[in-house]
Amino acid sequence: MSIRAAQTIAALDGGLAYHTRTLRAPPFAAHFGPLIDLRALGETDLSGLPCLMIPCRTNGARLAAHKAQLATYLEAGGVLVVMGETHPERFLDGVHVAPEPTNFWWWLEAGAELGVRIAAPDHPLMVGLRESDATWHIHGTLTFDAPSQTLLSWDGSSAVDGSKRWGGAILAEQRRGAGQLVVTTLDPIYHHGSGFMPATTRFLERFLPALRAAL
Amino acid sequence: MARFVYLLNTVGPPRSIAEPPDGHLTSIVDQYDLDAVVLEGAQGVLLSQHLDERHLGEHAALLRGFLERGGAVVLNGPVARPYLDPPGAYTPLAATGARDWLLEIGAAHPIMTGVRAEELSYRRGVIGFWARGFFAPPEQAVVLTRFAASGHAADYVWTNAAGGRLFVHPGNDIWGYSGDGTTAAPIFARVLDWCAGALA
Repeated sequence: MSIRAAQTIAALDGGLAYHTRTLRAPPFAAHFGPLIDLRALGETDLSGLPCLMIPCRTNGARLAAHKAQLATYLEAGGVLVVMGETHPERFLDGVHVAPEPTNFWWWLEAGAELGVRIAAPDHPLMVGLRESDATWHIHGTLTFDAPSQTLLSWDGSSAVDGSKRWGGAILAEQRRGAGQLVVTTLDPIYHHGSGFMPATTRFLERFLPALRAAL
Repeated sequence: MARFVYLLNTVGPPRSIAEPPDGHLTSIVDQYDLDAVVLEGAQGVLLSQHLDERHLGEHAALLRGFLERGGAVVLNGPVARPYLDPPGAYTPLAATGARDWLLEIGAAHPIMTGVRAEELSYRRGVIGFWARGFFAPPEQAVVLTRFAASGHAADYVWTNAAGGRLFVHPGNDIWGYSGDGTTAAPIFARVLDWCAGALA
């Protein structure tokens, strides 16, 4: 990939309220472009795009029809960034999500921690990110059939069932052909674009510039 | 009992849509298959916060016509691209403190019988799920809940001259509360009953 810090992030636009508010409004709109209507994905040539983001809660059942197109994009050298609650197992081979019941009240218990850990602090995508910026909800953990690098993990400490078991990867990357797959179970675009949970805005303030700088 | 069209734009429907309360029926239809035929014979249409609002805007005339012929619309979410008027545009209420999002019950209405405002304001102690902003209601609307500090309406119902019914909820989908053990749980069933004409 060419290193051009000014490169913007192409994104699918599902037309959801929180996609509109994140992709098309300040403060984050300037990071994105071009925006691709999800309904036009099949007719869109992705080959010139250095990075394509699939925003939070894009309907993975619709993306299943585009599995080959997305695999080809990766193989050819694209960076595909798949955000949370998109059901990536529907449109990517070799990615599995173990869903986690959402503990949205964990922070009301004295001394409680959600348990997000930065697993690869020196990774370019983690530049400037603090664990508190990635701390709101856990929706699931990721596993891969092929080797991957975990960038953010969850230590399991806030499990709804109180099990205290080890959680797993919540943001990871993997080489695919000449390209790079980045997948997370975090859903900052949903929350930022719904006006709910300030940490998600802080996450995007750090993650989006880091992603652009890494392209 | 009535039949409602639920427009699906997620991998699967929520449980209370797949198994609707009070003997009502739901027809679960891919959002992008919405057309006049889909709405034929349905009492109401259920609009989630997770819909493609650009696509809904392309079908605004269909939704408006459905209301004008006496159909019911249940509209959820902090809409970013207004696609139906009313409710028109959504205005977020920036919370400078939790009190900005505290709700109170508005008019006496059977949808809200026994509902405790604090159980709408807080879900397991967390504020904001129910509503974080508002749509200015039409003059004839009945305001069911409002923000205590600002007085802005949150939930409201509105009936047009043709008997078309509109329920507006500016936050997370109301059917998501049906399994909660709080006074918020029965609201979805009552909204369906109201749309069906079974509640005044």
